[in-house]
Amino acid sequence: MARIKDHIFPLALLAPLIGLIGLSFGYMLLRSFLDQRMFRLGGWVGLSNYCEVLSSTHFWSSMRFGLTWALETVVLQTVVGLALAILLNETFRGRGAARALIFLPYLLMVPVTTILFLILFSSTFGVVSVYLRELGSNIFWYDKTHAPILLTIAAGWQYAPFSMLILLAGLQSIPADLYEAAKIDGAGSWGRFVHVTLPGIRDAIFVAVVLRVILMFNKFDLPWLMTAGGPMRATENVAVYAYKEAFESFNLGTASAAGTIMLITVGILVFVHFKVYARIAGSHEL
Amino acid sequence: MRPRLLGYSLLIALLMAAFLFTVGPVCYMVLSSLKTEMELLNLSPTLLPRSWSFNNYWQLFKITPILVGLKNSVITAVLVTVITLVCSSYTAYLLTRLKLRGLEFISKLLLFCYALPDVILGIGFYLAFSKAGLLNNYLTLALAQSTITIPFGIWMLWAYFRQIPVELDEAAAIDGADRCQILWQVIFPLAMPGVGAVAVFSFVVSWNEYTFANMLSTADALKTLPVMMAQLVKAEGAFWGLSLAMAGVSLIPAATFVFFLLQPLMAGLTAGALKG
Repeated sequence: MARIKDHIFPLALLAPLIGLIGLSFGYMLLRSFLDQRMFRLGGWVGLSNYCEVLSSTHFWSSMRFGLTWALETVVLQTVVGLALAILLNETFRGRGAARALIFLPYLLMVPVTTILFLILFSSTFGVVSVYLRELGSNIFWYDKTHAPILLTIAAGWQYAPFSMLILLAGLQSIPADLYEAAKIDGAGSWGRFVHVTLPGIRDAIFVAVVLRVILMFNKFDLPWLMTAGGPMRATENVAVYAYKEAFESFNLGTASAAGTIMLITVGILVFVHFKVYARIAGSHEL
Repeated sequence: MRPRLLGYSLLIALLMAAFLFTVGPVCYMVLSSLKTEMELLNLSPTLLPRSWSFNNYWQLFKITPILVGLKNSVITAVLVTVITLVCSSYTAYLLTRLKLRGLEFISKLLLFCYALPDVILGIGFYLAFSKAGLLNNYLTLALAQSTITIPFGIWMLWAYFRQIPVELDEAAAIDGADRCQILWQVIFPLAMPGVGAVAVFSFVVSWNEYTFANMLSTADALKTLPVMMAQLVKAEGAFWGLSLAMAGVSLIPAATFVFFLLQPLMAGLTAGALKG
């Protein structure tokens, strides 16, 4: 009897949350089949919202940009994060405080990151831009090639500390005697890095890369606040596309359709990620 | 003790570089908030303010509704923290003590939802809440934000609670404690770093959260700090001084809590995510 009672309370706590998510998605799915331009809720239009989204060149360009941007910025985050993790895995006095300070960018709110990058990279008065201008290259937020790069750097800067955290946790799970053994076998720093460190944090790297790519593909607030998808939709990912359909074009039908498509895509990716991760973690324990 | 990979002076140099690239920009931003608007827009930027002035902060509190934003942010963040702690601690505790298939499934489902795009979840919430008349409501915004923090809380506390031996529960049960008492009086004190980290993390996540807050709080009187800040920034740099001052104020929780957060977060990661 106690078991049933135990079950009811947490289910009663979590069920509303799942219900909320389920209802919202269900309602969105329903609205993706209705015609509803400019707040006027029309009748059933079948798959025409989906056809409109899938035949839109903006949708496909946002898909392409979203994927490439996610990959680029995660590579940056992982490389920087790994360097920071190795550095902060050394023993020195004040290491805890150093780790905390370097983790700080991850805890900034995205509007703060936005203004930070605006004052660093503003074409006219940004410190970095002014310095680069003296070296002979100008930075423009309104340039189609510069804007994606700035966005990549911003996401890399803000989220590298999180990759660092994951990789640092991985580094700490490597037993110290493995390093001793490698040293006795005559391995140098590089040899120890390649043969002890990298295999030891394989799982951590997997999490830091795959899950981060998915989360960056989902990223809305950073691209929306920094460039709002511009210039000329050069930095528009699927999240920004769907938001614009809903809150700028006021076409909740296509927004719901785009949302459903994105949800299914990401859902499959996350599912595969968890499955593969369970397999890796499982094989590791044997 | 791990063998040293780097020499001492190299270590110092690399640490300095790491600080320069991570906290350096944040320090520069805070220093800039103490500059005058004239100096900010100067074509040859300065590192330190020429004359230190708190005018931007003074103006911020005088002419913008930042106090309303602070109030909304605090209320929402406290609600999110409470909801997250209650839901995730009880769930995580039972997951480590009993084999409950239904609960396990729901927890996994929540973890799955955690990785779904927030903007799509937000559009779904917006459609459903506007139909039900639940926009501009502290509680629904807090619930929406809890979909981010609860999965994290369950997963983190699960890693902590798992390390506490069941014998302690049994001893307390013999003394006549029920599950709630065991959780509050035996488990919580032992898992304090983890519980604290979940509380702090939930607070900071809610404090920083923009996507849901932007969609679900449309009335001016209910806007949270990030939404107000985004409006200032989106006004195409017309209010640099004010924006920077607001950024300075909004930094306070993160800058305070970061020192308490990292160690337990990493312990949770080491115990939970990487060992299956």
